[in-house]
Amino acid sequence: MTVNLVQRLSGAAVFSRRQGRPGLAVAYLAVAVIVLAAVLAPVLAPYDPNAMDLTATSRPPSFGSGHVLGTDTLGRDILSRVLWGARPPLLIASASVLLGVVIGVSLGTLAGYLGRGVDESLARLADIQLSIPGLVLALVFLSLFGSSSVNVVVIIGVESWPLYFRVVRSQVRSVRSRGYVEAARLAGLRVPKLLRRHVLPNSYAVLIVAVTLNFTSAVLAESSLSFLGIGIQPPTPDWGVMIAEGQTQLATASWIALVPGAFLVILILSSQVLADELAARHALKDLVGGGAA
Amino acid sequence: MTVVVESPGSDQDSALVSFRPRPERNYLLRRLFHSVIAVVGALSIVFFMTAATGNPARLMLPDDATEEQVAGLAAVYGFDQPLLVRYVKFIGQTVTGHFPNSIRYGVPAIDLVLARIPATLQLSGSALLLGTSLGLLLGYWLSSTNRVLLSTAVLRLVVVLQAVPPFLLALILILVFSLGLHLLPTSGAGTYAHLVLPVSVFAITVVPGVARVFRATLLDHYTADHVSTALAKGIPLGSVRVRHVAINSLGPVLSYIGLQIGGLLGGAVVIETVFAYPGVGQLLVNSVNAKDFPVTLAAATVIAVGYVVTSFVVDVLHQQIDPRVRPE
Repeated sequence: MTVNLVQRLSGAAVFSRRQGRPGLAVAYLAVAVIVLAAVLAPVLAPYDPNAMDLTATSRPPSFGSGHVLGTDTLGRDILSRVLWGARPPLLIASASVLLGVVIGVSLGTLAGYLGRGVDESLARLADIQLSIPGLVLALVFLSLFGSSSVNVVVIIGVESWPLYFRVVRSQVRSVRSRGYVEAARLAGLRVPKLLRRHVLPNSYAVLIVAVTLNFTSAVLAESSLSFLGIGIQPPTPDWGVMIAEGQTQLATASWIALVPGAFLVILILSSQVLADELAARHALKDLVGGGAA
Repeated sequence: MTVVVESPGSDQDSALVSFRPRPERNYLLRRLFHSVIAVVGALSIVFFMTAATGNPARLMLPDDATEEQVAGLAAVYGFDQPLLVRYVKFIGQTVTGHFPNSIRYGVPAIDLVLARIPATLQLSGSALLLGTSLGLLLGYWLSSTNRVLLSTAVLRLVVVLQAVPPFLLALILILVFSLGLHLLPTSGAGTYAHLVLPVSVFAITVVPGVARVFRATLLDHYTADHVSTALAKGIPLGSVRVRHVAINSLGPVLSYIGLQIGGLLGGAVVIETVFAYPGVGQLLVNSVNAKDFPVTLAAATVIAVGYVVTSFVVDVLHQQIDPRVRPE
């Protein structure tokens, strides 16, 4: 999972030659709408997302019936479930990105600033982490510790730390011996403050792009795990879970899987477009340079 | 890389002239060593995760096992011994393929996994080959066509395609080709018809990335000096495109694929599961859902080893094609 991020981060800027970006505004709008829908789900949802209505099962989407996006096999309103179902991907992806940032940035700063042995061993650890297929490690981890939301966050977050580690490490290394950093050190600034005030701010632009990229893949990871039955557990409304529930009904009630699927694609696509755009804007091809594999 | 260019008029000491780095034999060995480290590292992480759950014997037995059974198994596998002893044993047993028996089937877990390897190789091998070739063709076309509107539209489509999760793509293709047109079976394996949909889905997940990277690299190369020189010499545009640009642009595509393999393997696991395709990935997911931990462990290990081997091969290939990436 993380591996392709490192590549995309270094490659993303290459794609900036596309002229015109009509998609950008749409992408911002789509993310905003989905976040808003998730936050306002209790207000917007016409039904309780788990309320079953066995007299109205597998109804197709229609405006007349009161179920705009139809119902599933248990007669639950799909619109309500889609609104509530936006929460797990958004929350889990955000939390795991945060975890990845915290681990990756602190270790990356440490490795970049201290250098030598610490740097060597942490870099080797990052390589090992990158050499384990993400989904497979997640499956092993969740089968050992159980599929709670916290565990899903932990494993996705832990798998994304090498991305931030590599980016921050190379940034810190390149500014460590600059004049202004030396000056700040000679002025008697303590190391933690020195790093926070003078070294880390150099990495903010690249970190924002990394976060956007990582968010995309975290959403994909969360939905894949939930689809496989190892992430979010039913009956909690979640897009991945809903798609899995719709899989067996494809022949007769394809909308059960396709409606949440469409929302998932919109979310992934928009954050991907945002990531590409941010990378292009900050001319990351030069910034990332040797840092990304 | 030592590039010492002989200045005009200097003596004939040709030993100083080396425009290419000497092919490095040690590179292979060092890369191999890194692969071994990666496998051992991955196994260590898994070991400490199992150890962190408390008594791993419980993972090897059904949920209703008695305390005596747990203690008995713990003694057999040495779970009652110090952590370090267990660690060395675990690595040794895993490397030699000695996994505990499957809880569900009562046979050695590794046998179940090995039986599934051919199916997985068939699926991922053909999909990787197909997806890469299609991606290269598409990328080449995107970079060389002068039909701007069409190529922009195709590029947009490629970006959208990249955002469709493999499992959703699988369901859409099943809906269209199996349930709608009744052309192909929805799941299972056995005939070539069963392979078409899983291979297509897997290949389609490969195409967008390869096409984008190849296109971008090609475009970068079109403005390179050696290309201008070739054109100035009067070499036809078509053969410059192929010989001077396309061949030189393969390197980044290979390194892209190398970096993608982990993600692609994850996708393969999901695709196998959706299509009930009897490969290692489906076995892994089923074993997790059935709480058959020995099989989970064996399948995950085999996939991790396969991953490390594949990225080793891709790295060596890349290094053969493009001597510039050989590290000093």
